[in-house]
Amino acid sequence: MNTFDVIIVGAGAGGGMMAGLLSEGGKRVLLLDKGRDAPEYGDVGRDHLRNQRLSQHGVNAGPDDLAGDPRVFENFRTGKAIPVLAHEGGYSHNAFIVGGGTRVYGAQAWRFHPLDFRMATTYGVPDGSSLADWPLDYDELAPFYERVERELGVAGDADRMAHLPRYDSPYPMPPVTPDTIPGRTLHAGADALGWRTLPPPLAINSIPYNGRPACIRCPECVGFACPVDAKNGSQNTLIPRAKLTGYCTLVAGATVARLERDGSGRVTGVAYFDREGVPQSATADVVVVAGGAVETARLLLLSGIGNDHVGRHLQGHYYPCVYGRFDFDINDGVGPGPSIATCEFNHGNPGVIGGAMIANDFIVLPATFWKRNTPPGLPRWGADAKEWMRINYRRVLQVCGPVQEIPSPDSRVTLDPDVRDKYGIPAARISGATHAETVRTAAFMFDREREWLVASGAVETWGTPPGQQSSGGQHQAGTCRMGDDPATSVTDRNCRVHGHENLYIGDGSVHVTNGGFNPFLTIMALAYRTADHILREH
Amino acid sequence: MMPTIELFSPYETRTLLALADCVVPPDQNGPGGADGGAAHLLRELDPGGALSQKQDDLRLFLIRLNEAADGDFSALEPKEQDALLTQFETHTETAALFRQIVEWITEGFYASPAGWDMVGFRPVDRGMR
Repeated sequence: MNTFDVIIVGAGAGGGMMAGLLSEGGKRVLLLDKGRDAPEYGDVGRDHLRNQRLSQHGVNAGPDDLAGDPRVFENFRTGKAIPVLAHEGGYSHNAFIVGGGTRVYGAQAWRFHPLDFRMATTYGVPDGSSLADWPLDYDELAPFYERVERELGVAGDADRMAHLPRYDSPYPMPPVTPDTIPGRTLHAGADALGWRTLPPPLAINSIPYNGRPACIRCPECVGFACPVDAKNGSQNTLIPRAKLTGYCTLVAGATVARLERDGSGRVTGVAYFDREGVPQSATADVVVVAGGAVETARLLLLSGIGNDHVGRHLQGHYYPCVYGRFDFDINDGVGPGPSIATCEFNHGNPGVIGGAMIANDFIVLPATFWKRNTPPGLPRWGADAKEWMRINYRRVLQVCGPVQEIPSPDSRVTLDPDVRDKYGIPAARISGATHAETVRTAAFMFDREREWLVASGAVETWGTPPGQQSSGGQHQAGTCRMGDDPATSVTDRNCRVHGHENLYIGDGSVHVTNGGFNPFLTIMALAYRTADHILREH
Repeated sequence: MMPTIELFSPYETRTLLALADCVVPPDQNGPGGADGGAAHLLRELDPGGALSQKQDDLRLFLIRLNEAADGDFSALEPKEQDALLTQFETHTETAALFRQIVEWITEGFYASPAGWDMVGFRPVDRGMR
């Protein structure tokens, strides 16, 4: 029989973490993922037009059958809804592959700021927003952050995390790129402005760690698999640990159609299609859904589980970017890229709510640079366009940052009444937009980014602050938010779905707000805490 | 380098390569679009490629280009070719398709070794890839 102690739907950051910990805790785990298992470097595509950063012609980390996994995007201004595929705008894609987004991410391993957990108390709730506090605080999560940093492998400098309470112990590895030309240049600019800086913590080996080698500083990091396996995701850390126990069954290519339950609200198992499209079922004492904020909400909605908040409060991050041109070659090609950040503007900014960590970005591939980073007015063809690229590809630096979103209940995932996936399952429909306050905060951060580049010597800057729009994407969150009150949340403080004693959420869906930082470390820390809870309670 | 592909006739292929070299002109700093971008584009136009549904759009554009050139766009002088393309770029009926084809060629160029070498991008050791 297909009977397990725990079924986990989704083998990404949270699901992979929980699979490892629960298997080691003696649970027999079934780990299902819609994507393929792609453990080798060569298993993940390297096309500069088909990756997580630029999916012009397709994706490299699933879905493998683009047409088989459509969604519907509803433009919040016009109300017009169109079917979209994973490489197209509006899909809010992350990745469908074992390891999830962590298979190809940039691995910025930030803890959230203490005030990120108390946004409503700190700022009040703007009209039309669903801004709320988390049911837990930084101190409660800090021990789990530390464990993830150690077990996954994070490189950073704890002494320079001046925006956070003091760490109990240092990072297990020193920073990946302590000295680069962009880092030195931006450091001088920050000094002139009186801003403190720090090396972004990365889940990338700066020295050999956990039996795998150190980063070779290649320029094709974010959006791709690591050529030497120095980038730490769930697929090369916690999922192998799960397999090692002999208690974990990983089934790749499995699309879960619904959660099964009995009359009492207890979830009894899942119905899914295997890689060949054959219907299968499995039962378990506990079920964890960790498919990312879009797919997790979709699965709960398909199963008729959860309250009206399921699918609402969808958020990701606004990413204002400023491009600065220097009169020397600032792009030294030393990867992965982010070598200097500032957290001076995560909170306490006059007249706006929240803020963002800002940093120099990953090395930008030439094709991505051509599509996104060129200044307005540049000819798009001919000798002048080529000459500009030849000289300036190495002279332009971009500073970006994940602006904490102010959530709206109308930014949401629902089931589309018409469009279905390859198995006939209703597709997710994404509608609404972030709250207008997010746009104001993004504009504030855009100005800080420009200020930093100018103070660092940029001779010309450009860019456009983002307007109001739907958000989700790779940092998708919020659609099953946690809280103490079932009237305003989907799960309790232990990520257990209200009204269902054995159903848990293991991904960013539970984030009440998404911090002014890349969210995966928080997803993993919460997953660690939830796994602990399951081992104690079930 | 003539891509070994039969989606287009030799005449159409010659027109496309001439177009690609206008979009990204070869010069003393390296090859042009015919070497990087066009080959990339032709791969995407193949059945199974991302642009396989766009073959007719491109073919129609090449026909219009040759009509405007009174026969053979590739036989024109570079200055004449550029002048003709500027007309296509500014003419409302052809502007959108022109911009689209230009982007296909250019993004292909910068996604291939010809473009990488030109801007000084050094990818992961190609032996490892």
